[in-house]
Amino acid sequence: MNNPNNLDRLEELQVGFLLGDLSADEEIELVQLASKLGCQAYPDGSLPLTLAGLDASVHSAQSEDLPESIRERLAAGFPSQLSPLHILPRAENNLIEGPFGNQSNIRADGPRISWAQWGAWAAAAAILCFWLGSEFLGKYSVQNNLSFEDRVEMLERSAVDKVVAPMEGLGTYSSLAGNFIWSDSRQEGYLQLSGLPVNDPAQKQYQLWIVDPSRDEAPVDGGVFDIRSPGMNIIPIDAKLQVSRPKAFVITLEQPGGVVKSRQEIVVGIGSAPI
Amino acid sequence: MMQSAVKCASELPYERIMTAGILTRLANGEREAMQECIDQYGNLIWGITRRFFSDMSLAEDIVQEILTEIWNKSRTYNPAVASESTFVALIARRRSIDALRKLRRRPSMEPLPETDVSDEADYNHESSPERPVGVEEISKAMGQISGETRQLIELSIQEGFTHQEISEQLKMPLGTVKTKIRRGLLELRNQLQKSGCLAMESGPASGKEMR
Repeated sequence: MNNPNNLDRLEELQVGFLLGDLSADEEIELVQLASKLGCQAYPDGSLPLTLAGLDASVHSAQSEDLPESIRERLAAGFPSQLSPLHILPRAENNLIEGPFGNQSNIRADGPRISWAQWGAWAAAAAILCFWLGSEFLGKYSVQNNLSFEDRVEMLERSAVDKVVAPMEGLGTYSSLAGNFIWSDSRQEGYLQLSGLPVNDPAQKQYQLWIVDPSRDEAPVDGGVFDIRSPGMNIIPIDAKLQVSRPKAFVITLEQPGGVVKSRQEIVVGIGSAPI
Repeated sequence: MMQSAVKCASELPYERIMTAGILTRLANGEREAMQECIDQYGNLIWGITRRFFSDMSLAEDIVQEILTEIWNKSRTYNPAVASESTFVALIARRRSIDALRKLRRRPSMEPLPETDVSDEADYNHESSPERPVGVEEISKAMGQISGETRQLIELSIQEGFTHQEISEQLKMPLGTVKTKIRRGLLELRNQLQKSGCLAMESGPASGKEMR
């Protein structure tokens, strides 16, 4: 039988959690106590509703108003047409085989592929789309005090026009794995990459290219980056020009500082967007 | 049971949708409903968010997340359980706490699981309340709470004072302030349950109610 004192303490800690005032020790205590009592640490049911009801009650009488400038940005950024949520298609990231058969057989220093071909492959690769409106919420400032991880998560959560698709390594870089995430409305995106060899910036640097056939056959420079440690790396996509519904993201290995136009001598990996 | 009569927004007939609330219309894809949502609940969301974040631009990003989640969750809104504003506040508080915890994340800590457990878990009770949690019900329940506790809750939630500020203002030890506010909120919850606004829960954490 559970000790009533433990139950009281658990609920106190759960309220503390909902208030956001748990100390580190209390957070650990909450997890341990919940485990001991066989219930979940995060409170559900009546406690969150009580707090929410209180919030609503208090703020109907007294509240700090949402600044007009923010209100306008929020309203202006929402898509002109919403789809009923229950019939929205879900995105699928399954890729079909590329134009050259098994991509892992392509040598990194193999035959060059035209940028148009990358775009065509990317277009063919996707199965379903999940566009909820490209203009949603406009451009929002990226928080300087957030880590890349947090920014990726924030983008994943709040950008309804986000596109997420896997990155695949080519040839000798077949160990590359990860994803790209991109939002047109924010012109913001990240690569989440693992398995990419550490480079010596004095010798070679990785460069990202964004294939946007609606803009130009030539890809847009997505920025030069280095891999300084093995494991997962999060690389911000630094699109030098405005891009719209990019078809693919391609990583090449270039001379230090990158190049204006890649000769694609070493193509490291590619991620193609759903269409 | 009351809950069995409640349908999610997507199942409502057209005539009902035309007279439905903001969240129901939002779930059915009405563009104007989002504008109304921002007009109606923007201050509430902003107020909750700002209690957790003093940084304006960070708060703006969180509000953006909250609105997106309200949109995503609008079809789960059940008017038998809570008023629209309570539903909105539920999401606003949760997302704010999630964001706060991310900012405070300490690598050495064993973290709590992320709170992306579905909102339905705390929103759709196993047993239904007699009436939804709304402003009036909260006001009545607050009236049943002792003066000192009510004052502490008001200073904390309504006035937005930190525990430290309340401690200094009332010359009360910090730990006592913290404990009394937490217990006061549990008392408020108990009052809401007694008045039939909140369903009694089963399970270990509700043992206090059952003994």
